[in-house]
Amino acid sequence: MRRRGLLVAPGLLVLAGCTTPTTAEPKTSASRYFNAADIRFVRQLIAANGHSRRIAQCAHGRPVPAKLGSLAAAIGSTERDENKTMTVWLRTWQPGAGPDPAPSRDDDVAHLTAASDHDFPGLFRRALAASQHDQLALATAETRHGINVGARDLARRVTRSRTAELAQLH
Amino acid sequence: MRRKITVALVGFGALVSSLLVSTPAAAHGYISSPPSRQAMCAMGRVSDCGPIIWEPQSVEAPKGSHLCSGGNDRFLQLDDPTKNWPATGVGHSVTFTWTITAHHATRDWEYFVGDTRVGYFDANGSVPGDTVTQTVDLSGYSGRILLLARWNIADTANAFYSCVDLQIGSGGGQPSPTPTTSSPSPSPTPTASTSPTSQPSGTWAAGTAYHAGDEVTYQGTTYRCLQDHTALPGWEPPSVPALWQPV
Repeated sequence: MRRRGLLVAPGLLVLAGCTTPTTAEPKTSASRYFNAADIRFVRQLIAANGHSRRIAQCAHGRPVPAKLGSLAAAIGSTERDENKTMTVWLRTWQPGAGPDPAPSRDDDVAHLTAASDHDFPGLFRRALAASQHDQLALATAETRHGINVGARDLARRVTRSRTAELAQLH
Repeated sequence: MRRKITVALVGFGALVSSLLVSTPAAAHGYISSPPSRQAMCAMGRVSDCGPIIWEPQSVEAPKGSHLCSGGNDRFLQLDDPTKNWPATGVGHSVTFTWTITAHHATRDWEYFVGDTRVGYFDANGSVPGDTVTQTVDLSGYSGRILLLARWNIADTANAFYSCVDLQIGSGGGQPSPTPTTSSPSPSPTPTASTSPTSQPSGTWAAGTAYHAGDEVTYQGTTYRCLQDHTALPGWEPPSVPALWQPV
């Protein structure tokens, strides 16, 4: 009797599993697998990107070399894109969660604002490098501990882009 | 009589349990030749692989991953670089055979070495047969490489992933160099060792200074530059919509 019950149930499972494989995946399956490290990475990188964008904006109206200026502007734009993507992920994974509130390096912006035009380029370069370095560390942690496909792909890109950015900033 | 019934029940039980094992992810497809990592596991040439040994065809995950598991947490052993994955010796042109166990409508097939897409086969939503063979040119590579293949399904968000460890040509050697900053005057390469990333002018290249309005091609798509910048690794046009817009 018990055996018969056992036989029927897998039969149903097999039917359910094999005949409709193409419709079973919800569109949001990209975010189905994630862990605490993914959430931490996304929250911290949103905050860190916001910070480096604030630094990048300090270059407006300042006498910086053209190459440095365009690098900073491109960093600002690409990180704005990253934040848009991560904000969507975070909303799916943990509705109501925002970026990591931990204040980091807020003094940088104040120092840059107060700096003379003469001192600005050097300070700007260093502040931007420090913030890109922080982001590199976040990506390394995600690569080691995260499981979400999208977040891990982003971490790979962050590792490559920040490494290249730092080479330009030094 | 009684014995016969027992045998029948045992047989049926085995059938059912084998179905049970392969049920959760249904059946799909994987690269059987040269043997992919999941094929190595299923053949027993690599041990401690986890459940993949029962269903090498089931490495299904959302599209776009560069992981051998696709990020599917049931098969993370496939990503383990410390396992002793056997590398199959091949020439510079390699024919891959997929074993297809569920005939999904197919968007396309992609092959990667690192971040470089070395092979692409459009399928336009067609349905593959029981096997699919595709030949990929790996002339820019020598020595041991890890190749990742994706079978992108047309009507779901998912793809099937297969990684193949290959030993290209004879002897050791390094994987192909990644593109560095572009040199102003690329010298012609008389030997066959052209890197697959060195492409005709107009192709996006890290290290190049681009101006707003410039157009480049990247993996077959044309993009227009939206903002002056020097291209960097990690800023490939599809990844940075702020800098590049598909035309």
